[in-house]
Amino acid sequence: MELKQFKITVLPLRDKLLNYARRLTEDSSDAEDAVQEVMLKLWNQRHKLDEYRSVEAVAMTMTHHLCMDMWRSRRPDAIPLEQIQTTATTGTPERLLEEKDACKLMQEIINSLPTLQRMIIRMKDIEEYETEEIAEITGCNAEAIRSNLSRARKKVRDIYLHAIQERKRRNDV
Amino acid sequence: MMNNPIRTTVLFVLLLTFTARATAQQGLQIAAVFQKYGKQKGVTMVELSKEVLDAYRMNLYKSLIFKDAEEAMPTILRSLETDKKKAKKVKEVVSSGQIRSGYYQLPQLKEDVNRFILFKTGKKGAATLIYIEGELDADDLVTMLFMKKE
Amino acid sequence: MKNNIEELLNKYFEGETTCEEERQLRRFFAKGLVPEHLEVYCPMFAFLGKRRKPFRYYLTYSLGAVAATFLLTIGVSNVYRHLSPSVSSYVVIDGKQYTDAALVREQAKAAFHNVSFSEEDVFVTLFE
Repeated sequence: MELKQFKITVLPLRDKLLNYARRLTEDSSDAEDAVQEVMLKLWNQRHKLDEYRSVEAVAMTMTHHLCMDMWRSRRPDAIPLEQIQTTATTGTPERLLEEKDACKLMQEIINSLPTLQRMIIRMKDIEEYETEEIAEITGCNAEAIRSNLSRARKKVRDIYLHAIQERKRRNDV
Repeated sequence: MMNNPIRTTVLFVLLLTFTARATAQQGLQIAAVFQKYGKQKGVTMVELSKEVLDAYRMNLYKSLIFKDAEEAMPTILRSLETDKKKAKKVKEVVSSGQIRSGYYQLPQLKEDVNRFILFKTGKKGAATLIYIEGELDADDLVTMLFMKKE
Repeated sequence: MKNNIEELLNKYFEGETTCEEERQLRRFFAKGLVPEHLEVYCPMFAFLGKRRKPFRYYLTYSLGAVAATFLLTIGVSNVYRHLSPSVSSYVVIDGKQYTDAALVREQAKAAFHNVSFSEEDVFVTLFE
């Protein structure tokens, strides 16, 4: 399935997904992010979407799961303690400090990003899609993509700078 | 210099392969179901190794198919009930008080190792129980589980 | 040139650069004539420059393609078994163990097929 086909079969689902996501998350920016992520995931699987009896059912289920995860993460008391601890330690400079190889460090940092940010940074910086193309695929406006991309890049930069500064400080001591 | 990441990766993969067995189904009640019924008559047990499963981002796949699960059912349901208490996500279809199908995501074994139990009853008392472990997440699994066009 | 790069960097972090401008940035940081205060960015762009191909692009297979993959990889695992007997695939039917690749594959597929979603499950998932 290529872009033209994708636009015909998948994009029209967007409004329905967005409505559903809004009802589940009760927050329109969360809903927007959830639908962006679902659309990108579907795009990544575009070559096998033909195999499903109903792309709509797949898309709705993905949206459902994602929104439930978002809903849960906004209610810290609903998450078991062990889970909070693991999320808190992933991607912190502490673990990254041990990583000597700069490339592997970068890889680790990118892996530690939230899924949506990781997917957008990968598409833009590695697969070389233009922001407008990503907007076209997700049916979102370019501004929404740009803002997520900016957030992702700044986060990568901040974690990276923090990691090397911290390492330098330790070496000086 | 260039070889270093490759070497590390190879070592890591080897390490994963050898530790996969030791950690499989750790602390789960359904491990006992596999142990008890895996070699009985009327039961088919499959275990796939990591290298077969790599493409699916799984480390381990174990399945049990019961032709007739009547005798084993109380044990299975009790085990699911126990393991369910630890599960992060539970999705069940229950009709007339009995679980028809169940999808359970357990807490990660360690970073990047997700665990799932799948259970479903079939026609004439048949039942299938599957345990999956690996990097794949719930979305990946759900997508795989969607019925394909004939 | 230098001011231009700093401007591009700002645009980059705002998510406003085009792919062409990003290539320009990567080329600049790859050249090595980087002013000291910008050196910290070298590894970032070097990393992105190295990854021209998607770095974690996992192929997922349809059940039909599963067969081919299983067959292929089981060949490998048979060799592997001699090295490490504990990590091979097998099937036990009525108490008898087999390691025949096709049979193992068929039974694994059957079990997975059994637990696949039915219309009823999809309905329940969506409208609970």
